[in-house]
Amino acid sequence: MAKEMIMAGCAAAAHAAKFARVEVISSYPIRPYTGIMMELSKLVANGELDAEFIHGEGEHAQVSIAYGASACGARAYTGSSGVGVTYAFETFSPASGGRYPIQMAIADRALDPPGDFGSEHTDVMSARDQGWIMGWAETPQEIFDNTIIYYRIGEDPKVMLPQFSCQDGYFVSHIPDKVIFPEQSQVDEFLPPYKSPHPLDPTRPTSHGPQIFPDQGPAIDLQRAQAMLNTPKVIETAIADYNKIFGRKPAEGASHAQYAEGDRDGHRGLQQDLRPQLQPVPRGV
Amino acid sequence: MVKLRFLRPFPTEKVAETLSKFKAVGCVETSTSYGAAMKGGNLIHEVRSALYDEPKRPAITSFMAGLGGEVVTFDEFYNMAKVLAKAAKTGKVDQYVYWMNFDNEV
Repeated sequence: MAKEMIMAGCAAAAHAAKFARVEVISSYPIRPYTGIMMELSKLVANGELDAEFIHGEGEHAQVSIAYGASACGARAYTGSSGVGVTYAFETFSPASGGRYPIQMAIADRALDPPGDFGSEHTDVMSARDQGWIMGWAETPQEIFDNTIIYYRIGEDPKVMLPQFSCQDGYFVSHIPDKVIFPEQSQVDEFLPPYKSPHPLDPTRPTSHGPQIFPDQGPAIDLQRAQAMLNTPKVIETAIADYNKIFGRKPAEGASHAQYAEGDRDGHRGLQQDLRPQLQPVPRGV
Repeated sequence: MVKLRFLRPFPTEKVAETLSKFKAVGCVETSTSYGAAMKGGNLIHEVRSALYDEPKRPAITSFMAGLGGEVVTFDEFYNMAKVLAKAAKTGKVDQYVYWMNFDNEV
């Protein structure tokens, strides 16, 4: 039976990673995303999740660990916030260029300045052009769902791209709300184990991230661009399957619209409040 | 309120289909691109591009709100709605970007 829980976005992301049966987790602390790793470290320590939990010496190492794990064929999970995201920046293009479908959880935090620890999307928006799938959750339930759905999208053979699964720091990451835990069998049906097409294996040597000549570059870039072009159809199918397997209703569908990412759309009270002025709310574009 | 579920890949066709029904659109921006074409955030560039080939394009502006993690208040959303209501009437925007609580009108 599905279980109703109350938890904030960080714990929701961690439990979703557990349901997704992640095999390698790489952590490094920075608030507000740290709550995800705190929860996951408990799940690993008490035997609820069978995964390698590796503490990196910084965010660059963190993503590199996930990259290496994915190259070996593991489902890898990492994450960061704010300046931690920018410290890892150099690793982002190799991860998408090498087509490693790792997932990096982001709980947004403003870059410095203003250095106020507030939630602002400047951290991961700086990595917008690095070939990663990215999107924002509005509630703990959505970050739970997205964590699982993103792996399915990223690991699709037509896609094979890493994903930033983002939630606003504090407003989503630290405010508890209702989260429905599905059955593990439902998640397993939706998200089969990751099968890397060319895993690093001493018995079957393959090259990953080789040095190439300039005239070999455009073909690799074109493939990565094509992968992103293939993604919208894969997203549609994945979300339709998710709604079917998990019994979710599709998102609901004025003279003017306000258009936003993440929690900026989370003012459900406001939507009620503005109803006399605004027409019904199209959602989930 | 229209919610963007993915920023990458950007759902160009769906954004065009959804937002072309409106007379005015305001992008609530969550980050800046200093010195960019539309002088404010990042979303407005993608939204304007997605709507470029539509026969009927809405007036489009953007609102810098909640930067630094400040809470975006109901009052700010009302003020955005006022700017958009005016743009819907006149069919044009006076500015590409409004910094909430700093620009005169908002």
